[in-house]
Amino acid sequence: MIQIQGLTKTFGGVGGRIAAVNGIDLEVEEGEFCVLLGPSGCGKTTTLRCIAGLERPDGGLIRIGHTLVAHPETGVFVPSEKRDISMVFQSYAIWPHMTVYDNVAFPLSWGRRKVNKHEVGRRVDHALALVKLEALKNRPSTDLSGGQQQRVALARALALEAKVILMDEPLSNLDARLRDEMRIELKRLTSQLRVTTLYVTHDQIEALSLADKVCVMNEGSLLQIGKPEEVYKQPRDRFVSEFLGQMNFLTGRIAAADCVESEIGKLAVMIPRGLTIGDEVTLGIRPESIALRRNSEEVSRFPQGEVTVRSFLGNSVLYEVRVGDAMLRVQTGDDSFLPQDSIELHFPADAWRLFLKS
Amino acid sequence: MSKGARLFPLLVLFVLALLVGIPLLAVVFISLKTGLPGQPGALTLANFRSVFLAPGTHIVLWNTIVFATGTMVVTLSIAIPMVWLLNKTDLPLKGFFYLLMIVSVLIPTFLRAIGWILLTSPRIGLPALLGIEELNFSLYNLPGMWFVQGISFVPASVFMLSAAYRAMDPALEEAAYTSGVGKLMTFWRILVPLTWPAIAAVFVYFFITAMSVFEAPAILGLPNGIFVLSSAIFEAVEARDGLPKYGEAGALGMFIIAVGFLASLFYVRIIKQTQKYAVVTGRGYKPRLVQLGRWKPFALGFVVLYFCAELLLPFLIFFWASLLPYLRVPSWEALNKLTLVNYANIFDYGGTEPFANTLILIAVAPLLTIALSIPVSWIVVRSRFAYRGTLDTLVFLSQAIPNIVLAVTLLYLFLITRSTLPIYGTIVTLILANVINSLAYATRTINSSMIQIHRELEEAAQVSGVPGFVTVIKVTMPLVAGAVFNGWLWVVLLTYREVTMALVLGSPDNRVISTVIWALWSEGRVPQVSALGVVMMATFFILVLLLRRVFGGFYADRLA
Repeated sequence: MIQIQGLTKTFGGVGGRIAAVNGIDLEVEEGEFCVLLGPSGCGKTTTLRCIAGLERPDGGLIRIGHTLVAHPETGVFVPSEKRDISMVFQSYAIWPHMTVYDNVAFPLSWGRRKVNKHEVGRRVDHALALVKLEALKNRPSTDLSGGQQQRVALARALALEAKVILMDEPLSNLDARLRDEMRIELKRLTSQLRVTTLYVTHDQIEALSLADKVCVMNEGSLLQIGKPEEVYKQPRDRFVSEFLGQMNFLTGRIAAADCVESEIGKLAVMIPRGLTIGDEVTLGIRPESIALRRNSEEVSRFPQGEVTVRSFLGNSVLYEVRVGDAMLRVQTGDDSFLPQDSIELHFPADAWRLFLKS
Repeated sequence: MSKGARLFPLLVLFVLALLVGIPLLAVVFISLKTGLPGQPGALTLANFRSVFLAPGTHIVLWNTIVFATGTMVVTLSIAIPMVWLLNKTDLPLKGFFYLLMIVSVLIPTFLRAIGWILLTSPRIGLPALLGIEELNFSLYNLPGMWFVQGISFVPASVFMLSAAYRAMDPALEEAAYTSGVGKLMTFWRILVPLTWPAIAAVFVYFFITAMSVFEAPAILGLPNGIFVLSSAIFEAVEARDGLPKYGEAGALGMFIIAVGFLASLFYVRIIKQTQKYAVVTGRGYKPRLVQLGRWKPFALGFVVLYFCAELLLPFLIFFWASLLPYLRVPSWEALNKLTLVNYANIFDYGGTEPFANTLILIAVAPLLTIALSIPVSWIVVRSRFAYRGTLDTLVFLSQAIPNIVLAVTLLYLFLITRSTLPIYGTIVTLILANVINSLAYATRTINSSMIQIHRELEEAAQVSGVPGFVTVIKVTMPLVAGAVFNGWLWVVLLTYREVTMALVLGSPDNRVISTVIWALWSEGRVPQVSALGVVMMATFFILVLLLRRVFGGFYADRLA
C-alpha cells in the first residue's frame, strides 16, 4: 500500500546540509499497522512528512497504492491535498474556530474528496461514534480536553476513509494513564477497521503493542524491520536491543561451540551462525530472562551474586545484583529476595544475544 | 515577612497612584473647570458645551475618523502581505529586512513627514527630478497624512502580526492539506479565520493610536487648517490668538480617552479570542516555506519599494539637503556647491543646551522607568500582594492617556503648582512625562520575561533558607536581566525621538534636539533641519546595528 525506495531528505543547516533521511526502503502492506520507532532526530517524522507530501524528498521514490506520489528524479511531486491519505498530528491540529462536528466534516464538504451532504452527515456521525464523542458533536473545539481533542483528530482522519492513515506521535501529548487507555482504543479501532496505518513514535511500548511491523530507525537509516516479537527478542544490534527495552551487557570471548568466557565466568550460550571460536563479543540479556535462586551452599556451576537494590514494581520486582565486578538487573515475579541476600543466577542458553565487538 | 517587606508593595502602589492617578483625575478636573488655571472657577459642563456645540468641532471629529481609517487602510494593505512574505516565503534577505524594520520603527514620524514634503515639493523634489513640475501635487491634505502615518505604523504592526502568526501551530494548515483540502480553500477557511482576530486586534490598537497621534497631522495638516483631535488640543493650548483654552483641551482630551477606553475593552476581548486560538503545539516543526518562484522579483520589488518610502528616500533627501546651502535638484552644478558647513555649525542652531538636555533626558527618564517597572512587574507577576490587580490596572490605565493629553495635563498641573513645586518649564517636566508614558511598555516587557521564569526557581532558593529579597536580587534579577536591558534600551530610543510632549511642555529652558528640529522646520531652515535629521537617523541605525552585533537577538516585537 505504501512503497518507499531509497528515500533521502536533507535540510540546510549552519554547517552545510544535514541528512535527515539517508536512503530508506520500506513497504507497508494493505491493512498493516506499521510503526516507525526511533529516538528524536532519527528521521522518522521526516519520513512520515515526505509520505504526507509536507516535505519534498531529495531522492528516491514514494508510492501510495499504485500512484507514484514523489520521484524527484523525474520531478514527480503530488501535493498533500491530492494524495489519498489522512493524518493525525502530534498537536492534534484541531481547528479552534470550528465545532467538533465541523472539524470532522470540513474536509468532507470542502476538500478534494468531498461527498454529498447526506454522506457527510453519515460519515461524521459514524466516525464520532467510533471514538465515542457523539455527545459532544456540537461543542466548540476549544472546550475540549487534550484527550477529547485527540479523539476528534482521530475521527477526522477516519471519516475520510483514506487508503492510508499517517500518525505522528499522536499520544505523546497525553498524560500516562490516558495514553494507556487511548493506546488500547487505537489498537481496537485499527484492527476492527483494518486500515493501513503508518505510525511514528519514540515510545517502545506503543511500538511493540500496536504494531504488526516495527521499523527501528536511527540517524536517518532503518536498522531493523520485523514483527514486534522479532525485534524485541532478536535485535540485530546493540542500539536496537537497548531502544526496545532494558538489557544487561557483558563482554566475553567465544570459548567453545556452546560456551562464552565472560567477565562473570563461563556461560552456556547458543552461538549464532557467523560467529566462531575466539571472537570477542558483547553479550546481551533482558532482565526478565534471568532467574534468581537461593545460594545452594555447595559448590555451584552457576554464577554467584549478591542483591544490592530491590525495587517492588507491583506485578514484579526489579533487583540489581552484583556479580563479581558486573552489575546486572533482574526482573522476576519472585519477591522473596532482600538486599544483601546471596543468590545464584540462572541464564537460559537461548536468551543471550551476541553482538560481534566492533 | 518583615515589616519593611510588607510596606514595600504599598509604597510602590502609592508612587504609581501618584504618577498615573493624578494626571487621570486632572484631565477630568481640567475638562470641568472654568476660568484660568490656579484661579477660582466653577466646575461645570461649560467646556464640553462650548467645544461640542461649536460648528468646527464636528469637522475635527470627522477628520479624525477619516484620518485614522485611511491610515489603517494604508498600514494593513502593506503590513499583511509583508508579514506573509517575511514569515512564510523563501524571500531572500529576510534578516536584513527585519533589521530595517527595527530601524524604521524608531525613525520619528515627523522626520518622515518632513522628508516626504521635501521629496514631493514641485520645484526641488522628485517631480522636478523627473521633469513633471507642472503636476499639481501636495502632501498637505488628508491623503498625504494617510500615506505618511500609514507607512509609519507598518513596522510595529508587522512585529505584532508576526508574533501572532508564529504562535499559530503550522499543523493546523497542514491538517487541511493532508485531509485533501486545496490551498485556496485552506487559505479562506483556515488561515483567514484563524488570523482574523490578530488582524482585528492590530487594527483596533493602531486605530486608537491614530486617533491621538500628533506629528503627521501637525506637520501635514496644520498649514492648510486641517485639524484632527490631537492638533485641535494643541491649538487650544498654544492659543496663538489669545488665552490658552485649557478647559476645551481637557474636554477634547476626555473625549479621546473615553473613545480609547471603549476601544480597548473591545481590544481586550479580541485578544482573549486570540489566546483561545493558541492551541497545544507540537515540537514546533518548521513549516515549509512557500516557493515564490517567478513571483520573487515582484515580491522583492514590493518590499524594496516599501523601504524606499519608509526609510531610504527620506534619509537620502535629508542627506542631500544637509550638504547644500539651500535645497535644489541634484545636478553637476549642485555637486560643486556641496559643503559640510551645516554639520560644522550644528551647535549654533539652538546652542549646546538642547544636546545637553537630550542627554540628561535619555539618561534619567529610562532609568527611572525601569527602576519603577521592575518592582511593579515583580509584585504583579510574583507576589501575593492583595492589591496587585489594582497595580496592574494602574499600569494599563497609564496607556489610556495619549501623549498629547498627558502633556497638556502635566503642563496645567505644573502651572498651578508653580509656587510650591517650581519645575514648570524645566527638563524635570519632560522626564516625568516620559516616565509616565513609557511605564506600560517597560512593565509589559519585564512581565513577559518574568512570567517565563518558573516560580519554583525562586521557591528552591527560599526553601534552602535564602531570604526573599536576596532571592529576588540573586535569582530573579539575573534571569530577567536581558529583558530589563532590552526594555531600558527601547525606552532610551523612544524617549530620544519623542517630540509631542516635548513641544507642549516646551520652554526656552528645556529644548531638546527633536523640538529644535521642529522649530527650525517652522522657520523653513531646511539645510539645518536636514543636518540634525541625518544625525538623529544615523544614531538609530548605528545603535541598532551595534546592539544587534553585541547581543544577537533584539526583542523588537516586544515594542508593540
